[in-house]
Amino acid sequence: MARGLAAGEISSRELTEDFLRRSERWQRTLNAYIEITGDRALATAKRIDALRCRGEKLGPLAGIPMALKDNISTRGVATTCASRVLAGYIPPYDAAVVEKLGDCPLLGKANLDEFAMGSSNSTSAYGPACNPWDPARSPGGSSGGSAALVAAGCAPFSLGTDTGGSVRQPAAFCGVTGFKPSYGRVSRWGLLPLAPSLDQVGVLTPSVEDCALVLQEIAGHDSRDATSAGMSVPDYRAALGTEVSGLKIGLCPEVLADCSRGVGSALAEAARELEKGGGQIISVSLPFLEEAMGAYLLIASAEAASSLARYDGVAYGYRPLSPTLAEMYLGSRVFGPEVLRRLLLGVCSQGKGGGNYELGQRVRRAIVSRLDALFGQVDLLLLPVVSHPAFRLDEEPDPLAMHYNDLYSIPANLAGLPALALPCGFSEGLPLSLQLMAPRFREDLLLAAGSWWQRRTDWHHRRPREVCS
Amino acid sequence: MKVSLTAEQLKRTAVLAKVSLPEGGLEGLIGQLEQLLDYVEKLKAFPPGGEEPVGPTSIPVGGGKTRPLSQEEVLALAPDSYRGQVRVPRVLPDE
Amino acid sequence: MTEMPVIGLEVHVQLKARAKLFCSCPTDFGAPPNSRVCPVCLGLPGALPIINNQAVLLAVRGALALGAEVSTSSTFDRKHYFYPDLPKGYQVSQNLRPLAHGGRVPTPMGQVDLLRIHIEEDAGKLSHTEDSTLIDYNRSGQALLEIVTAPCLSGAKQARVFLEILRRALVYAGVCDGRLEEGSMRCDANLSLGGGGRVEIKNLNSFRGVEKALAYELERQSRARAEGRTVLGETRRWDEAGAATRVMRTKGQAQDYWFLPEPDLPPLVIGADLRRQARGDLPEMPWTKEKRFTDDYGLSPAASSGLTKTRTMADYFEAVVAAGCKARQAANFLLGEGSKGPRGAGLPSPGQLALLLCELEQGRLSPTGAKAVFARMLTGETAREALRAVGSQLTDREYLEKLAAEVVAANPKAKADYLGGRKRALGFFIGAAMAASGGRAHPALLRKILVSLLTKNKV
Repeated sequence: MARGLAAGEISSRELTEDFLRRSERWQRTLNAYIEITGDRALATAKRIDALRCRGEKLGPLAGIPMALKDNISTRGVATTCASRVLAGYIPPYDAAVVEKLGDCPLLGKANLDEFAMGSSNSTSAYGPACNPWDPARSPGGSSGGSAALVAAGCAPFSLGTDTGGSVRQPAAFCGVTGFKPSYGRVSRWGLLPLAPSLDQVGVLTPSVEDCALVLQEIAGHDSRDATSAGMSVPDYRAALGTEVSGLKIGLCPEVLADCSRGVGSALAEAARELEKGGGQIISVSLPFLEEAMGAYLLIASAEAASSLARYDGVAYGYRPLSPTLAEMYLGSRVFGPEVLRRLLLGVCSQGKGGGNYELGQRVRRAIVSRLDALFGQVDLLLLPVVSHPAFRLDEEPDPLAMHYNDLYSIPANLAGLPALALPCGFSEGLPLSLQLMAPRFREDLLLAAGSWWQRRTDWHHRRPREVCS
Repeated sequence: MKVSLTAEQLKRTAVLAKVSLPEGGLEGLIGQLEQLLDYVEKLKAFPPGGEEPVGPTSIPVGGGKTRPLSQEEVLALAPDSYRGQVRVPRVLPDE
Repeated sequence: MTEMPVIGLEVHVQLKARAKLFCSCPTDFGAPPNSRVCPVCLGLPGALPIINNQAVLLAVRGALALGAEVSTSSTFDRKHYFYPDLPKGYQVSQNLRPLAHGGRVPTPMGQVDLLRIHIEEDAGKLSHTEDSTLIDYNRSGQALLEIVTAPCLSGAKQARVFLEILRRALVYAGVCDGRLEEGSMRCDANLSLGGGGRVEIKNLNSFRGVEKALAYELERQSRARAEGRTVLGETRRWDEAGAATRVMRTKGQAQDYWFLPEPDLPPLVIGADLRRQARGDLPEMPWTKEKRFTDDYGLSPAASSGLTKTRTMADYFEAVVAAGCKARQAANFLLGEGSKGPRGAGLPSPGQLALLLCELEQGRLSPTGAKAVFARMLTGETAREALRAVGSQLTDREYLEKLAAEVVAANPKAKADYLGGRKRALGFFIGAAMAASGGRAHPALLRKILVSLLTKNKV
């Protein structure tokens, strides 16, 4: 696509119009956008085409349209976090990633779970997004809209955010490539926070190759984010052609046993492929997944309660007509049930000297050191993303069971590791995915192994048939 | 050990979080929160390890440059304003 | 039975940083409302804090100036509560690991020990109309240094004196501009009396206010105790107009805060370089200077205190003495005539002033004459030019006797008063004769002549 643009075979405007038309057609079925920003997209496309005509030097992604999860701040375009609380909020500034992708026409803002809390995209105040493989099923969450759009071919790529699996789980449910970079690799400036010590912007694409292109553009230090990593960004494309031979890949047999049969056998098959490619599968144990999830619950809920304290209806966002200050506060802070529950959990366990946040951090530190030790023995960890394919929207599990969707993803967030979700099979017409995890800032290893995988398999080429509603 | 949460504790938490609790019974919400609190309770038995700060240490860095907003932009964001200022219902002396 | 009150203060000091604590917005006072604001200090979602190194340097310098122990690594916490001036629903402060511990400020009524010193951000400014509250976020996010004293102050007066000395020290150190009218220093006080409840008084924005509020509370609480009523722990505010403290919150409805370590900011590491830089340009503290002035120059405590009010004044005084003037002469002049005129750059050079004061010291110039010479020097004349213009003091006995005779003859009533026993009338004659001489008459000689003239004629 990028080559076609550069060669002048297709204009950004034509490309953008194509994707907009497709987006409009799918929107009724998927509800994957909160807003489609066609005019803005076309304006950017025309600008880029004009620059290209004049022979200006442009970035590799210039003119390629994109969708952004609606918790990424876009100047002049409503940013809702899928919450009533932010109704009417139009940010006066762009997120760092939006600045960096300023030459990519913005197709629209993708649906998500309210404030990115959820694993189903069904907590959105704008209604659930659906899975293009089966609209009765969840696209996963919280970046459900972003994943569904890439899967349905409505957007060549999208950005999501991953606090506890929120890019990888929807990527798995929708059968696309989902990448969560190391904490600090991509600036969080302008990302509406859920849990600042865990949040990271991630990339959803049809392939690992595309993923490397996007990651290259958005990675790097930002002086506006104190948690942003100072180190330089390697050339990720250089990693794409390499082999997996010699790589030590950790696999936990107990984890495989816990998966649904489809996922378990797809992962076992993947391990065999990797071995055939010269990789060395090493059996490891991960006796801390449940504890990681517990620590995550404490840390994420307390940080979320804190991050959401700012939505008080005073300086921006939603405020009903309120005769008194007290009514204004309560009337403005109208969160959905999932957000309310996590907010109460966060304040309840941390407020009034509960100190559970520190407990969570203590466990987190212990888990981080165990993962560090593990990565002394292996280069990569092979895991499922989720133990099962996408669930039906009308069969939503209870809150605790819902968190189990992220059981295998959360360790990467706690330890700030990069992780990659890759399509690796199908079960009853629904995509299945494997997950690779690498040491901090070893994005290159993931891209190498991922691109190798996608040269060997064609799961990532399969696309859902367009369903007309 | 089962963690229990009383309606009174829940109401106090809601005050601290400045949110209204759902109308009708709180039993459902209490049950869900108890389940989650119960789940994290097992962390207390987890053996400690690892070292202090997660993440980088900072040296003071000056001047993350942020684009200033004009008064018009600030007021455009505000649900209500008056003479260059953001307006809310009057703060009472005991609030 | 009178019991000693236990008083502690929390002082919030605006650091003299050009930019706010976590963003690059300017901190100038008096700008149009909401015109010094960006996504960070307006608390827009997704905006992130970056700590301002100038503010950190000032904070460290302030802590060192007060003799506190600065931690190598301190951390930030979010203090959560809801109030319209707080745009994020939390204030970024330092709770668990503050910037510094300890420190002390000597006062004439005893040393005041400090518990801790930390950095935090200021809130926006509220104003109220009849039915609404208006918010200006210009102040939101400005850098504050919070200084917490031990509960060791013994009275309202000491609290005020402590604050004045603290202010002087922080202005000396260049940490704060000390402009109280602009809210540069604000204070909360807490007080308990003989085992009664701990009462916190909020919103004290002048030192007089602190003294008055504490005096009022002491009075209120001791009366309550005398009447056998229990003093409840509660939060009150000072009502300046009503000259009374009013209940804000009782203990039951105490404002609940909750804290969370700030995940957006890694620990603040104060390295050796920064510490050295902060200590490097730290001046002598006012209390040390004051003691040195008393010890080395033999000045009275009042004079030492007066001269050390500002660093400029103290430095000027020392320069004048170094230029050859006697210390007491210089002190008297600077605290008298010298304190009325301009400050700083407007003053003549220390050497020039020393010349003038030597003339005065040696009796070649009367105080009135010195005043005239000084006035001319302020317009830019050198000491020599001004002395020449005013002329040296008149010691010519014949001239002074003639002058005295004229003055006495012209005022028979005053003369009668003097002879009738009103010795103060002498002052009148001295003044009149001095005026007639254009301020140049030698005062001691003139006085002697007048006295002998008046008494001689008595016969």
